[in-house]
Amino acid sequence: MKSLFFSVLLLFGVYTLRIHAQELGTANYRCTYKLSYSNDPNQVAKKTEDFMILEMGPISSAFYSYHTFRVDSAIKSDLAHGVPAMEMLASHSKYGRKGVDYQIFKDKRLAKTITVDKLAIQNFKYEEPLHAMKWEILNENSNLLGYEVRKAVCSFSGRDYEAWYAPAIAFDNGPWKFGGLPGLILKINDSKNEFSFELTGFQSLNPVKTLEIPEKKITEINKLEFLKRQDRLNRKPYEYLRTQMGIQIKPLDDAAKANFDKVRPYNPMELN
Amino acid sequence: MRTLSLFCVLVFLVPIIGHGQDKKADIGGRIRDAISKEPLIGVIVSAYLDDPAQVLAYVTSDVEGKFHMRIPHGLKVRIKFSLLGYATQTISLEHSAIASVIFLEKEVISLQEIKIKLPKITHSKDTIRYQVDQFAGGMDRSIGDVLKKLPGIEVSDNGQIIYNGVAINRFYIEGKNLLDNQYGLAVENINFADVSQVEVLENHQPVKVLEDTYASDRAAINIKLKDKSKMKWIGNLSAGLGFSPLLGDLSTHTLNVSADWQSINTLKANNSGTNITKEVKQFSVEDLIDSKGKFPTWADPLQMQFTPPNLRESRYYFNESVLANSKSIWDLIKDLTAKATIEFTRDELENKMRASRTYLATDSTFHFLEHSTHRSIPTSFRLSFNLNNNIEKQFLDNTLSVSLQKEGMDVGIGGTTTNEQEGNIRRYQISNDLDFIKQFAGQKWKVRSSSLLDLYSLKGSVLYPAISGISQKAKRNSIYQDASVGTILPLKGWSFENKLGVKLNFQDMDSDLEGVIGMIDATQGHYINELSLNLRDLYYEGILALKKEGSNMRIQFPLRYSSVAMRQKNGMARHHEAFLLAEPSISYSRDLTTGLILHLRASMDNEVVSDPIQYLDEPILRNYRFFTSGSDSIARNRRLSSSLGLSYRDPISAIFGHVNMRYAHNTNGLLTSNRFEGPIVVREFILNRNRGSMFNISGRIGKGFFESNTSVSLQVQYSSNSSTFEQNGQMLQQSLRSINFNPHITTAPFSWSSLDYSGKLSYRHFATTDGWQVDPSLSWINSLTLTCIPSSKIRLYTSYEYLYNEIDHDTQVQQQFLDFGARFKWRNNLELDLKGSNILNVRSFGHTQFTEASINSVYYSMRPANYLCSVYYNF
Repeated sequence: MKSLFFSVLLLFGVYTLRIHAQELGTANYRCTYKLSYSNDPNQVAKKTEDFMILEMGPISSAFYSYHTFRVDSAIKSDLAHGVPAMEMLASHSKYGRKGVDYQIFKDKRLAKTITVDKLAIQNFKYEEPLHAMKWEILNENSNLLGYEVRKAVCSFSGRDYEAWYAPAIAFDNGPWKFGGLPGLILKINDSKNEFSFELTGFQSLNPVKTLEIPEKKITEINKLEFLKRQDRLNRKPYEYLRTQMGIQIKPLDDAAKANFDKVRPYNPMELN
Repeated sequence: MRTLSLFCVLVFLVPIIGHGQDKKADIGGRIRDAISKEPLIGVIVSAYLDDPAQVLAYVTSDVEGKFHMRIPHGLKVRIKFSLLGYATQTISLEHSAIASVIFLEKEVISLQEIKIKLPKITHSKDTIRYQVDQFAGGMDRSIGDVLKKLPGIEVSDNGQIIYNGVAINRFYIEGKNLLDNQYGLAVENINFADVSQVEVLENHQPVKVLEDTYASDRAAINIKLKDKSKMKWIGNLSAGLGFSPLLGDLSTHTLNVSADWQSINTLKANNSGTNITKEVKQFSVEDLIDSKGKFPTWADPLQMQFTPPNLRESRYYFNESVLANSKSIWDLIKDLTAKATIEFTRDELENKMRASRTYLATDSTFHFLEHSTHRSIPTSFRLSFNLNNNIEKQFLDNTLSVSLQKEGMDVGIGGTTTNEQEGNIRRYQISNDLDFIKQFAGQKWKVRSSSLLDLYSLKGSVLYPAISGISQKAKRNSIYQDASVGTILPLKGWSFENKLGVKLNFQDMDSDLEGVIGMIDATQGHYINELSLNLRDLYYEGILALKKEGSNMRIQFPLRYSSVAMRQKNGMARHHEAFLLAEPSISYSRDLTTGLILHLRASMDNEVVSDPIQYLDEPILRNYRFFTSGSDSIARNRRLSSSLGLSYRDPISAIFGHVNMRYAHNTNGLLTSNRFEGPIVVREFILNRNRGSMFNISGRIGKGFFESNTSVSLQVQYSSNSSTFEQNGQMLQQSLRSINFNPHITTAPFSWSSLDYSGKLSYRHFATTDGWQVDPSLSWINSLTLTCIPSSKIRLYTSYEYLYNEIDHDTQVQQQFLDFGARFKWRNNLELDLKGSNILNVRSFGHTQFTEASINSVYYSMRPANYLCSVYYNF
């Protein structure tokens, strides 16, 4: 049933993946982070991992999942080669596993963080102030990947975080929405260790890469409303599809119906 | 290159000091690029006293390059301006605060880059991907060297690839089945630097039309090349010279992987102890469609071949070998591929050994001492052509194959019976194999046909100096045909297959043994066999299968009417028998939890003995002291077997493990009876039920530790076998129990060194029911290889091997082997290798084998210390 749900999403996703882009700036560095997170608050030890890319320049940056990028690129390529959507659906396993859907863009000129995320088949975009977290720099040093790092802590969206940043990498950036420290954040995790980002790679880009915000069929929304919808989709996906998007999936039997009505565990990164 | 100098110009001072209630001072200013004068955004401005780690305050410059912050008033504060790509600038604020325009000058980045690495292993659904670059190191050169290091994958001594305890069923290059089951050509020759990923496709069903019908418990491997290595010829060329004696090693290998065409070509020759014909070994996996072998196999009438020891092959392999192989696959039209193979191999092999063999009887023993020199020249030429159409609605596969084999053998024996033997074998085979499956009208329709013409002839002779000699000619011609039609009907998640078929196997075997054979109770003369053995099978097979997420089941109930006619032409006696045979089997697998799978299987196999050599009326020479003659009645063998297995894998944590338990009970229709006539063993096959059993439990657990580039594994195997023999008229039951431990550790904690350890501890107990009991025998092999990389151009390794073998109660053999090697990277793709093998010059290796109610202690000659210098060019 779970595969049916995601198959429906893939089928629709195939049709909506026609990307145009809005230029944001250029990136001359690429960082890779290992994201580790717990989907289920009842099983925090069970972690899902993703492979995240941060591409950054002096005025802007983009942060996204490599796995999602890879799958979307493969689908886009198949679309460009005229592969029928039903055939793509039938062989969807060849594309592999997607990662997280969100893409986070930071624009220093506008002093904004722009989040592009997907709920079912709809793309949303919302903005918030750049690096809104208030950091406290502590007197603790360590070494990560050959860089001297310093510790800082902050509270953001209902969670307490502990970060390690490298003053030698003079970019006030970091994974996800994090940033604003006097050096690149190499490692950050929340106090419950349910979400963590850890740098695995760092390289300069030559030539520089143009950063773009994809302009799909995208709906602007405020952050609070988006988080509410995201919560509903993750806890009751079929109800969300029906009420929010008018997509009706009928259960074949009682077991499937029970599955439809089941409230699923969900562990959002942003709690408020 | 831009200068690293720091340039700061204070253009103007704008005191913006404000004395707030908290006694802090405001400072601010603008930051610009020193050359373009453009404002710099995102410059980190931090204030500190003496220690930069003690940050008092920090801000980043805005879109206009402006910054503003508040610092404690009255302190001697330093302000640091830093932005990646620009030289950091620090200024001191004395008693009064300042605001300024700061010009930062661009600077060449001297930051340590951390090479971006994809995770070593990624996993999605049934596909596990290994990043090859992240596992390669040390002296690795071929993709096979790296495969051995991948958690969950083993490469056995004969080159077979095993994933989590089960042999793979396909080896693809970029998704194409170029190699069939001859994947040694890729494993041994493709440079790992050309490969980006190794993919393991778990539960791989290669026949697409059967994907929703039959599950597979086997995995396939797909290697993905780097983009730079596609659409062009890649390969390598190496040439080496060495001593002792004069050694040579030449090798070329090319590969082209394009969108609609692939070709792999290999040409090799050496006398340096490398078995290159192993690269074209065809690893047999069960028939993809029917789970059984397609063509029958028969025992080789001549048994003069050398039995290899349990030791690294290059230590005892005295060879002069040539291999030429070319394989290509083309996309003809959409989804239809053609594949062609041409192959030539020739070896000249020589092995020396001395053996002490004791056959056990209930009240006596028969002892043979011999030292022998085996020479053989196997030569083979093979052509094959395949057409394949493998899509979701249809499967068509047809392979036409022609092979010519020739082998000359020459064995000199001294000891209990001094003699000289010669043997010459010729074999011609033509086979065609067709499978066709089509989905039509809601069902799948199957047609298959396997045809084989096998012509085999031999000439053998033995010269006993004191007695005279004997010679033998023999030939065996066989025509085999198996044809069947069937349908597969889907039944709500289940499927039901019905198949009807006919199998024909017509065989003629003639032999003529001539000479003084008094020692086997015969006078001089001819011993002639003219046997005709015809098998006709009519069979029905029903298969009920369930394939769903998390569990699979397959129940087979074949029923076979087998009619066998045997005629000894010289005696004009004709014998005919018919059997009705059932061969039911059931297999079941279930996912217990994520990654943990339970496997169950039970089966009953019934087989009519179809090897004509077991029905020959008159004796036939197998080797100098071994003659066989057969039964005049048709025999059948039955095997009941059951197995239970658990496999577990967590690829992201690099944990792989499995345990399997198997029990089989055999009832053989023919009893092997040995009669000792002086130095001669006459073996007869007597129609008599005899029973044997086999119990085996084996397990392996492995774990990779990514942080330290380490992987460890332990394999444990216990087996117990029992079988019955007749020795000089007395029944004898033998049992052999053994337990083996194989630990393996490979670690590369530093970029400049790696260590590899593998051990084989074997403990065996051999006994007969009638009182013969051999002291438990222990053997131990430890191999330790240390690789060191002192610079990017030089790699060094040394390998130490310690072996301990208990030959018998009083004799233990301890041996040590030492090898070394150095690799110098001359240019990017040109390397110089120096290898020294067995530099302690150990010349013999001894161990004990327990087979056929006998104890056989053997000492093998080892290759002497040898040194080889070679050049390797990769393109």
